[in-house]
Amino acid sequence: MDAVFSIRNLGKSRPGGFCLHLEALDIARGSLIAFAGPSGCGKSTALDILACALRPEPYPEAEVPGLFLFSPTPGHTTDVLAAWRRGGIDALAALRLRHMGYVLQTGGLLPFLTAQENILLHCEALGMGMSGQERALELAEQLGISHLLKQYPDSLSVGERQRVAIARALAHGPQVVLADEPTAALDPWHAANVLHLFSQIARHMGLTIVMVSHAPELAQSAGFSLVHFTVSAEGEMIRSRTRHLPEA
Amino acid sequence: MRNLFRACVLAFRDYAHEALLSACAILGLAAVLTPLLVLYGVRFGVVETLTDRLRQDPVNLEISPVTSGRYSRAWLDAAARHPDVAFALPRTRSIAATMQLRPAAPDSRQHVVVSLEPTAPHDPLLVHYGLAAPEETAPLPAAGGEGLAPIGIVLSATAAEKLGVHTQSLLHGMVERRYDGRIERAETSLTVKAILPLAAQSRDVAFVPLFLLEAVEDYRDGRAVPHMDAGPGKAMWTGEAQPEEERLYPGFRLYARDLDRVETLRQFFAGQGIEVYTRAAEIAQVNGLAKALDLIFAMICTAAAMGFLASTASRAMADVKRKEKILGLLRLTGFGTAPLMLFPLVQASLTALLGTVLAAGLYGLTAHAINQLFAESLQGMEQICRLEALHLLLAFLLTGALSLLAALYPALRAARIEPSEVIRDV
Repeated sequence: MDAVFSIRNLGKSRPGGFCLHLEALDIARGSLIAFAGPSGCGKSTALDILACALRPEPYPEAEVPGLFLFSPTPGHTTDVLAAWRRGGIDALAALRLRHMGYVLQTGGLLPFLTAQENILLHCEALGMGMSGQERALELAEQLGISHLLKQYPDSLSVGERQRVAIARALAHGPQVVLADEPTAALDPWHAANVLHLFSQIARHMGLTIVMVSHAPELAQSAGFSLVHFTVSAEGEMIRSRTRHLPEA
Repeated sequence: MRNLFRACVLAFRDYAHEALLSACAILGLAAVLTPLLVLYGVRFGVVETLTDRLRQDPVNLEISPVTSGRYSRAWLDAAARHPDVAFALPRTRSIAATMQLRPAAPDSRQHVVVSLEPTAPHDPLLVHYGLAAPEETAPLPAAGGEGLAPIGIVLSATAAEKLGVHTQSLLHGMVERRYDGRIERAETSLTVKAILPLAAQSRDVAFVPLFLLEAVEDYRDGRAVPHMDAGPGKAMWTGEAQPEEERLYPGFRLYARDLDRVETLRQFFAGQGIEVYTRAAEIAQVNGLAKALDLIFAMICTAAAMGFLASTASRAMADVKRKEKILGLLRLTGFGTAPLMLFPLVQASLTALLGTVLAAGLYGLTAHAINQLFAESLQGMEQICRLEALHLLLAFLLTGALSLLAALYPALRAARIEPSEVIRDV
């Protein structure tokens, strides 16, 4: 199977006896995935691990050693665990910038840049020039925010801000977009609307999306496959486990 | 490289976006820096004005012996070569160093007795007033005629007034002596090379080449000075032959190279058992004032710098804490450690730059007001509050260095932010 992320036996424990266990997680290229589970089950932590923003630990009790492969394009695979060991967060910054987009719950925009400058943030960092600019305008058109581009985030509504954030995550043409409950702050009607637009554009661009979702039904209706996190209490420990191996 | 530049641009945009908070920081810095600049301006202005006044008057550089001594030409030449000495000439006995002058015009009746002072090229007193000293070291033959050319002298303003003469005027000089019970006279012709203003000399004085002083002293001692004889028709410089032994001088006219060397020279002469008159006490007073002001300024500066360091550090720390979400987001965007550290450092530098500029502007206004206030007690270009461009540059560099030092730890904190800990609203 052509997987963008391939993970075996990674963990992350938090003080207070919580332990996340990513037992086996393969995410197929071009798939739309939504992490679902009760709140506090470590969905966002899992997303940060995928985003290479949080250093995972090998899961101590596993028989199979930990593994974390990231292939943004077929044939180009990075051993993320090795990169973490080599250089920490800096070593992965370039990889993240080039191949990933990230949408936060709310307020992921820089307050001192206009909507357009926010959208072009990654394009500028990559030195993309005109190609990024064209795609940004096209995305703004599709997301219905063309008329807001000169405004600063504090003059935009929450829904408008999320659309700007989505446009930013997509503008530099990443292969993977990670989204942390991108519609949590919106009312149901706007949430559905934004999510459908998001999945539509992603399909059109052939992207892989991994999203943390608080509303599984909504995600499913927008075409996302759910990956469940199951929480179990083991003595003092609370363990959250996920396993997702789509058929080849 | 691109990310470093981008970080600078973003830091600047953030700084501009938070204009009000940035303005507070700039004002805070200016509030500390302006009084320091004014204080230092006053210290520098006062001390410079006092030193300039001392320096401008060559009298303050002059060193002369208290009692008459016996100085050989070789000793005086050695003193003149001393590294702290700018100029030195021997003096003859003052009682013998006078001459009666009258204008060369036949109908003129005015005459005046002047004291003679030795001079030579590079005489600091004449140089200070832009006058050239006579250059001859011995009488010169008259151009194309019999006898001697007139000897160049510099007259004090009072003497010139009494004689009614100007530059280029010709004078007759006459020396009288009582010899063998008779009154005898010797004459020489002189020309006024320059007139020394009243401020430099208020008595009737002629500054003349040393050989003329020596001739006058020898003649008064009853000796012949044949090389001064101007030929037939003029009173001759007759008398006994010159003695064999070396000439000894009772005193000297000596100038130190600058104010700071007056005291070292005083000590040098004291070491040789020669007590001298100097203005060392006045100079020491000004130097002492400068030292005391420097000490006070250094203490105030240290206290201000500590306060500034603490306030800047706490502000930068609070900023990093307040903006950790933005910084985490930038980290997520792909900014590495160095660009993230730049973010607070660039903003601290901006505050340092703009704060210094503002403080310099406020200082300029205050300095102008102070100088206006004290204008009456100042002369010409003097300023009681004064700084040079170098001082302002130094102030900026120090402020910049302190700001960067203060922002260094917050910058490290900024670079250590874990995006996963800050990007979510709790």
